[in-house]
Amino acid sequence: MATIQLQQVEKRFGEFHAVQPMDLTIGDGEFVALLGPSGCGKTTTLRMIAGLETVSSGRILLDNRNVTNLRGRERDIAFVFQLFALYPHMTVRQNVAFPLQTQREPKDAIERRVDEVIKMLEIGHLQYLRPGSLSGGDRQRVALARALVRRPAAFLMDEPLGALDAEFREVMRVEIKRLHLATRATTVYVTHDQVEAMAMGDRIVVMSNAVVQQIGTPQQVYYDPSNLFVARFIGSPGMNLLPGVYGDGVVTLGGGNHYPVPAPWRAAIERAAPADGRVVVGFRPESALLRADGPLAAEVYADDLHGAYTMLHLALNAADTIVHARAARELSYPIGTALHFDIAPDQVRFFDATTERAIAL
Amino acid sequence: MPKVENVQRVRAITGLRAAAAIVVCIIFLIPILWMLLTAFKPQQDVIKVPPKVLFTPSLQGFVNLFFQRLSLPQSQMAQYEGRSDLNWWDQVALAQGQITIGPSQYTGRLLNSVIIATGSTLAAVALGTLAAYAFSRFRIRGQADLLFFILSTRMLPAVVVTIPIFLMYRRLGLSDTHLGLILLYTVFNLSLSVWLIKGFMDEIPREYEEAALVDGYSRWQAFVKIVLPQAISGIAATTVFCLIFAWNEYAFALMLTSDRARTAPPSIPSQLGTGGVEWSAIAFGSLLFLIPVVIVVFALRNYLLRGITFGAIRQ
Repeated sequence: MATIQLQQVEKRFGEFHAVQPMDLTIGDGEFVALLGPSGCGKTTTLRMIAGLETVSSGRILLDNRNVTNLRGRERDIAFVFQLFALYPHMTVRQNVAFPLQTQREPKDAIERRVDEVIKMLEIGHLQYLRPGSLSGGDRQRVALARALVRRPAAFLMDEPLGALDAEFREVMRVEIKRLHLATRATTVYVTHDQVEAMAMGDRIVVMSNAVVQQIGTPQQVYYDPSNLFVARFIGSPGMNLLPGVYGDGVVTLGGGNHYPVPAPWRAAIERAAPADGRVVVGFRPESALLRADGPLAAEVYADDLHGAYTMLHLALNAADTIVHARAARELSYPIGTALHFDIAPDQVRFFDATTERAIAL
Repeated sequence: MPKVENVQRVRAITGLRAAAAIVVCIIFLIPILWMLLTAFKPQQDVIKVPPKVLFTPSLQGFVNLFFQRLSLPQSQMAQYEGRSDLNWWDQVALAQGQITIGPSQYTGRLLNSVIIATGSTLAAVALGTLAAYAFSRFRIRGQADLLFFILSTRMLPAVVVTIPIFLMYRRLGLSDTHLGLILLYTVFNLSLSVWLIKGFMDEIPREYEEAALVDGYSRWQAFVKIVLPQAISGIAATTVFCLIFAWNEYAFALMLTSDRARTAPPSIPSQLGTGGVEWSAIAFGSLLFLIPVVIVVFALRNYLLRGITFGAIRQ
């Protein structure tokens, strides 16, 4: 297994930047998720690591070996594609054996290893079928088997669950995670599904517009987003973001609401906020506390029962800002009910409205 | 017993369909059938009005196609008729008042057709496959313009350029050579093969090759072992199109060849000249001319059915 290092790696297609220079160090055995909306450069990044895309500038190190200009087959990595890319003219077994055959390993060693992997992924009953006759989940298992068989230095997966239906996606998500825990193989996993990234990644690299927005653990990107993009993108719905103006320990929000800033934050905001005091108050739906004496007044715009909880859509008074708040499932509010709420003081975050960056405490 | 009724109904429908297919086939095959009948008709029956459908089959067509003959003066007829060392074809010729004086050139012409059509088809398909792969997979500067240029070679009717090509070929020493026609047919077919095969290759997901590239194949290996097996039906369809063109081509062959490299198509109507219109010989020649293409199409039929639907059947 191996470490992967990207040093100022960038990709240009003519004038167009597919990936702005980025740095990333992935530890041995780590599971890193590249997360972002489509077209953000995450797949291009993965393909550069795989050697399927040339690097415009920068260096890629695999286990401290510079592989920037090596072909894919000289890098000792395995790639799992979204559409599985199983060779349709070969049986499942031939597909799995393929990477070993290209390396001209002895026949009995190949047979032994293929048996081993086929057993590990429980696809023995499929091994003489062609991929065309398999279900999506089974195809994905075969694709994983083909990736595993060679014991590569690293696994690269490009939205491997994207082509599966929702029910199966969850099953395979757990299987991939377990497989990772069993093999402890360094894995880079591209996805646009933040639930997947949160559930599977040791760390998440959030990308947007060809730029890395934040690199951190799932907890970090969820609770401490580094900017407004990450705050909006992570979580469903994303963070509530209320623009306002800071002054004298209070943020004046639209619609005449005033939010008294918790004491520990005041110095930080005074230090970091721009001169005009324009900041954005951010908090997760579960951080909104419905309380009669809460400082923020709102009106129920809609409420949906999500089973375990009720998601309230609150219109801040006289402002057209909608805030999502999580409430106990027993509660139901008629539309138009006036409410007050507070924000859990340890879970509120502040952003500079101009630079869109998080203000550090 | 509704089940039995169902089975009977299905059978009836299948039967009707088969009958309809046979009727359609017969209609389409009437010209071929007529050619077949004409090929075996004796000369006097060929030109009968109204046409004769029942006749005594004769090998006059065969003999007239494959042998050079000389008309005998009346005075020598008796002498020849009395001879006992005559072959069966001599006797057929004699019945028309002729003697055979050697093989005709038709076999050679047919052989020329085989050489030229095979050579140019292989070249066009091989070059086309490589070019199509490059156009399909790599970022090529001016790709759209190049593809349009390749297509534009088809925009002028072939007949328009026969004279310039005739003059060029005479100067280059390519007139009446196999190489000359192979070259010409290859270039002519290349636009078709590049475009057709590119379409098929575009349908093959890149991921197959990329998986192979990551798993240890070189680009060439991935092309040969992963892409070609996937594209085989498209390549087979293209092969047939190219072959049919090269096999049937008439105008260039007529202009650019005279003897050594003359192909079958322009030589069949030349039968019109020798001793009246020998329709049965023409029909026999045409019939033989059909056979190689039929064999190739038959051999490739499984690929063709998949190829002609243009990847409409997805995995």
